[in-house]
Amino acid sequence: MISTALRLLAVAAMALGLALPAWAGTAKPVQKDGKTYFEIDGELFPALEPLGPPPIPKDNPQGVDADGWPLKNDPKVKLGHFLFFEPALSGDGSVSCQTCHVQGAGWALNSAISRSYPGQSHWRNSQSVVNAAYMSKLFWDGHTASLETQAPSAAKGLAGNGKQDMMTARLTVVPEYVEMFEAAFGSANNPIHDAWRALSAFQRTLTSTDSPVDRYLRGEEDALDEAQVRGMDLFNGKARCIMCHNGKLASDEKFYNLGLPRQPLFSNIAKNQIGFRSQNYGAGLPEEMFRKTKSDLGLYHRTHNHEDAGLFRTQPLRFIEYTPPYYHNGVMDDLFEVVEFYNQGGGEDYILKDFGYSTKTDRLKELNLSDDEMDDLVAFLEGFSGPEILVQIPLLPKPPERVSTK
Amino acid sequence: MTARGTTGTRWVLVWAGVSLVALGLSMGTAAAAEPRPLAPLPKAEMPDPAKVEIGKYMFFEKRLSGDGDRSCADCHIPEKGWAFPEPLSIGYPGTLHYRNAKTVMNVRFAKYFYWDGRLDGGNDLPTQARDAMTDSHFMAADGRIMGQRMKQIPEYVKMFKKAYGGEPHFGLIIKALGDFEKTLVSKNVPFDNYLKGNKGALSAEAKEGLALFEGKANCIQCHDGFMLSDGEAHALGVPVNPDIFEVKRYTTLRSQQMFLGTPNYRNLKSDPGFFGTEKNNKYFGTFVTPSLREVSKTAPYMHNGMLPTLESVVDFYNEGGGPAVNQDPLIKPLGLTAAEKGALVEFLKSLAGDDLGYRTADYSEDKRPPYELLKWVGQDN
Ligand code: HEC
Ligand code: HEC
Ligand code: HEC
Ligand code: HEC
Repeated sequence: MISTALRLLAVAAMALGLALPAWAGTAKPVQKDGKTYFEIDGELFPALEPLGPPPIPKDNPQGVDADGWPLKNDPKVKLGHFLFFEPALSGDGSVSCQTCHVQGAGWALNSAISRSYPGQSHWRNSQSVVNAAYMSKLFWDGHTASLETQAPSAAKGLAGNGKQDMMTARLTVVPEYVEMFEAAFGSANNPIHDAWRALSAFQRTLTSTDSPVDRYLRGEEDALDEAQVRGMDLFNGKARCIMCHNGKLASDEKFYNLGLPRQPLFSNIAKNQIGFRSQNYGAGLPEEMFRKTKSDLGLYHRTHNHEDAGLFRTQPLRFIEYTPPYYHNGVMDDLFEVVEFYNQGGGEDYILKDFGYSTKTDRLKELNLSDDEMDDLVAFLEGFSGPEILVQIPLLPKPPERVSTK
Repeated sequence: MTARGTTGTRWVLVWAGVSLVALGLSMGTAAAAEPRPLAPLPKAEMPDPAKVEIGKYMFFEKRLSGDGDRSCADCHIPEKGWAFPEPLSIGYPGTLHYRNAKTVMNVRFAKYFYWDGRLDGGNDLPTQARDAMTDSHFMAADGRIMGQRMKQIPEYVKMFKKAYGGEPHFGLIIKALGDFEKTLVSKNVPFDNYLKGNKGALSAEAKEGLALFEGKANCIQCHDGFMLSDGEAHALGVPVNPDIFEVKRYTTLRSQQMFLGTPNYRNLKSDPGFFGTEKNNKYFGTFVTPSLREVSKTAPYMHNGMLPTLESVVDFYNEGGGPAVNQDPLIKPLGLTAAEKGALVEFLKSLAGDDLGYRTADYSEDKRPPYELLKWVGQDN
């Protein structure tokens, strides 16, 4: 039930042009320095906010409209759109970004553990690139700070196995690409560096900002139904989600160990084990350490601090309806499972089990949500997804059969 | 080899040492010193058989490439003289090569590796193996992943334990490959037997060919010593292979020359050869003299496979090679008769030894040990 007072407040705010959401129910917003927070365990957490246009870095400018939204017809974006579908950006020329970020699967992959290049297996769930433009820490363990620096690690490494010189050569033998680089960057002299920048510009157009939750937060109170509004109240209070999934992104971009179940593939399928173990090895973990644990050590891979073992970045929640399975190891197939998991206070701390010390967050507690409340919370989570984002599959320029030199 | 004051390649440091020594002795490509006499292959120490055994499996192991679809033996086929029987080599899936694949027979004695001499030989086979495994156009492998792959093949783990007292990792894999290659030495070579005193080991015709090789045809000026190679770069004017402009081959050429920092790498109309290594115009289109050992088994010939048979090679030399900006003055019409040409070919054939007995089929997919699950330490799977 939405309280009439809040309803009126929202209507008034809308009339004034102030977008204020109608916070409803038991979780009481707290105002501080002109911002709204929710208080849990004596701590304040920023309220959810609607998403505006994504930030655009100074060193990779792109065209935007009057409100700051990236333009789709910017030559960089057009080039990036092609490149996102371009399998030349991989080792054997068979894998493109789209291979693992499938537009029909929420720009992610409907597979617990992502595929890799042929002959190899990845070790993590493929994340959606929708709204990646807003993140300041990319990847499940947040190890990259911008799309520009993320793209090369996506085309090389475990994803595409592409080598820089070969990918450069493949692009420069295609006259259409040379033209597109010239149009977007003034020259085709540094195509691979510019390819990452074009891909980033394209991904900045893949934003989901008009979900029912966004519209509701902008003051459009019919955007969520009553169950969803009840779910939102739980999200902000009793269910404690706001402690981590907060602010504009519905993510604090911090790292936590939730005690997720193990991914059995790492124990049951040799190829997955190889993917898993080679990443541990590659991150410089001592073999005695990673042979003892069947679990991904997350942030530890980056910092080698023991207290970071098993920590992962809080996932943003927009667009999630399209991107099952969930979590870094894809162990949950739907949002009901997710909510049940939190209702039990998360899971067993495998770091404790494997290494004898705990890194599990103490923010997760048994929530005692009723079945109806869990349904409401799921309904609210579904409200984070706006329309599907579908782009045209570009007709990629074909390399000439033979290269002619001037 | 002449000074390699090269910039922009990752071998700068390696070459720097060589240059210092070589500077004083530097002798352009034209004026050859007195050639060293031809000689039988020297006796060479054989590595630990347990390590060789591993290297052998690694040589045939496709799972040592990114896609798990290329082994050394795919391009260095034992039944084809340990080379690839087409003018131009295949590449990693999705790529093709722009050069002919050289044989790995006797490679332990090579002074420099590759047609363009871009890698130091000197017995450093593991470094070359690292190159072959990681290059985008050969095997595109990530060494760290390869180590973990091999660890999940219990038969290999046992072999590594026995030979090295430890588990497989990239460093050991390339060492083992090098040790295996060290055993790829010609065996029972008629010409060597002849030099060692068995006068009947060469036919009369081959003996006449040998005399021409050292005399009228003057091949020995470049093909000298026991490897029949001076390890120097020369331009003969071998015609450009038009297939290097096929897009997948040309991208390999461009990508590699870009990596080497070759000037004007985007507009190359032919293989720059040693110029890519040395970046001095006088080396454009020169290639390092290959060894002629096992040569009758490794057709087609030259860096780009443009000459299909030994007969065509001899014809080519007899006509004074082809046009080339930096053509070596030693390459000039030889005036050989048909019989002399035949004799020269007979001699070249006497440089091949016995088949070492390796069969690709023995290492086919259905025979190789599979990946298996690894046990976790301290807990059940
Ligand atoms: C073979 C599968 C695969 C390919 C190909 C691939 N990715 Fe990914 N991508 C993944 C996986 C798996 C993750 C999560 C990896 C991790 O966290 O370690 C990911 C993560 C990302 C992220 C981070 C999203 C976030 O929320 O932090 C971005 C952005 C991204 N990929 C973009 C790309 C681009 C651009 C390309 C093409 C150049 C590409 N990917 C190619 C599988 C792939
Ligand atoms: C202690 C911080 C924290 C709290 C509290 C929290 N989450 Fe999360 N959430 C995370 C982290 C961290 C991840 C990613 C974890 C991983 O993959 O290992 C995540 C992932 C998710 C995902 C998966 C998204 C995806 O794309 O895979 C959903 C859905 C989710 N949370 C919903 C919720 C809901 C609903 C609540 C409240 C019941 C909640 N979270 C409470 C930190 C938190
Ligand atoms: C896809 C084909 C391919 C694969 C796979 C391959 N090679 Fe080669 N190899 C070649 C070609 C082509 C050359 C000549 C390249 C050049 O000169 O630039 C060559 C050259 C060499 C040479 C130099 C020989 C000399 O006399 O200069 C050695 C040694 C060698 N390869 C060993 C290996 C080993 C060991 C492996 C496996 C780890 C391997 N190769 C895998 C194609 C291949
Ligand atoms: C000026 C030095 C020079 C002289 C003289 C010379 N060669 Fe060569 N030879 C080379 C070089 C350099 C190559 C490789 C050229 C290339 O690939 O473009 C080569 C290649 C060959 C090959 C091909 C080997 C292979 O594996 O593809 C054969 C066979 C050969 N020479 C035989 C001869 C014979 C026979 C003579 C004498 C008639 C001779 N050479 C004279 C330098 C020389």
